[in-house]
Amino acid sequence: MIHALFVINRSGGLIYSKDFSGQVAQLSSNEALIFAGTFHGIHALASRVSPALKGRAATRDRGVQYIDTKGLRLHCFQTPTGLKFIAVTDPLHAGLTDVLAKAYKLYCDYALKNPFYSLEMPIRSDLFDTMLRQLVQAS
Amino acid sequence: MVVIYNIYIFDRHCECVFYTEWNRHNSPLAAEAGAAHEPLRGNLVLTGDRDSRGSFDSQRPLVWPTKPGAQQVPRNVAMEEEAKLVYGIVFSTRNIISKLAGSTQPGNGGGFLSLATNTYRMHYYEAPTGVKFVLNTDVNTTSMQPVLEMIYRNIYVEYVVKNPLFHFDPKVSAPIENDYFRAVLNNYIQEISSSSTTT
Amino acid sequence: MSQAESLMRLDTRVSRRSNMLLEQGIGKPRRDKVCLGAFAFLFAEIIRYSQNRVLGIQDLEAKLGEIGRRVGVRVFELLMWREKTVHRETRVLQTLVFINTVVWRALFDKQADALGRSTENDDEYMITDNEPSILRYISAPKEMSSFSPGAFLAGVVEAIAECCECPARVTSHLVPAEDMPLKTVILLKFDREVMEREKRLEAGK
Repeated sequence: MIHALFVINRSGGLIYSKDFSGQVAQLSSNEALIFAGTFHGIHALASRVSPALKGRAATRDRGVQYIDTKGLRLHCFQTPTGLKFIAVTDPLHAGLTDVLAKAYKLYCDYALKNPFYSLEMPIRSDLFDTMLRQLVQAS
Repeated sequence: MVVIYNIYIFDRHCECVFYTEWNRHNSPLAAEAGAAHEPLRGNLVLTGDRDSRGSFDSQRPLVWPTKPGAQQVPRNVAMEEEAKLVYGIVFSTRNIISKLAGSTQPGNGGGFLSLATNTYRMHYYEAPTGVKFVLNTDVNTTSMQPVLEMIYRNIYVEYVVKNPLFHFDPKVSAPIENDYFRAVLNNYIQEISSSSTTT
Repeated sequence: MSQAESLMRLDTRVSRRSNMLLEQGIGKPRRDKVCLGAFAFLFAEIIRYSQNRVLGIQDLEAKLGEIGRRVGVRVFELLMWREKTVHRETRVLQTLVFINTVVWRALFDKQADALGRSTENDDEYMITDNEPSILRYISAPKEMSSFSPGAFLAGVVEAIAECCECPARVTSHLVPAEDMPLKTVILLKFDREVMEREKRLEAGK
């Protein structure tokens, strides 16, 4: 069960946030923006302090993929273009990379191909909402 | 098999009061110390104050901050920087998690446990007094909470807090220079690393 | 050999050898598909371009209709060339069927989903497409909820109706239904002369 989903653009701005279950705290729009900015920062920092790299960038660290907490798990999927899709689930929920990749595909279809969407701006598309809801319910 | 990379201890003043590492290949400490001292055993590198301790210390990993008296080595900027970054990560993560979990308690109310990238996993434990333990392991090691709690309860409290020489001033942060603490912690971590049962 | 003949010979020779889309003759109906994604980006750019040059929603629809009309004229010409069995329709109903089947199949590789006559006005007919593929990714913001991106389709239909000597005023309407958020109805209101001619032809039978 995916409780909520966030999309963060490449400069750390929140461009989409949706609650699906009502089981996590509702963030006000301001709080959600702070969440996005903070997550963006954590993601960037986490890739810089990896203790596991051998030599110079033998394996590059690609930033946060999961955050585990007592009651929740956050999954992060970063696209090659720097967009981040973040899903909030129950703890120990199995990997969601494929679902988030599908959400990315929906973004490519229903946001980027929509003439009324401007790049890097919040996504306001009924079709995107509907398709995403279907995806979340199916997963 | 658990691979443990390093541990950071932060006090309530956001200062890194203790750091040590194992199995690490890109250490900012080694970059500093490596110039003066050649590595002794595998990837374990000697600390800067070897001379004052003799061969007794040769089996120990690097620690940071070093004793003020032993600071022939100049301040390690890379290490200081890294400690700040790590603190920034756990502090911000703890905060957004509290928001997301709807927790209004101070401290780790949201229950932040760990954070994983594709190369390592960062485990977080916050003691009721506000002392923060950050332990980095390999990605597949999921739960280190018992270990961190053990380190806090049975090593930190026992050997640091109960040490009569422990200089406790709530206003100033003091690096942990307790040799006994280091030795016990090192033994404990070695034990966990070699036991395959802990996951 | 005249120049035209040599050109034609050149044309057939190329088309026989090459499979490139642009080098194929236009005589046969294409089975090649156009990538919908590529089209969607182009169409989105057309809408965005038009939107920056209009004052309101009606203006925008008119502009899209104008673009659609240009497409319609060319499509009609092409279909007349390709479909050897089809002769040019002049009767209203046959024109509608022609649009519903031949045109839709050429453009979208399927027939339109419904063809009906308005219950209120005799001169109004409706072509319904449950999911127009060219509109698949388009979702207008709330403040433009009355905008129907099918205006482009309406333009195409209008041009074809005109070419069939049945001029009509064509509008498109978004009628979202269950599971079909993009269901579009294209409404043709034929001119008065057309309906009068129809009556005369009907009587003369």
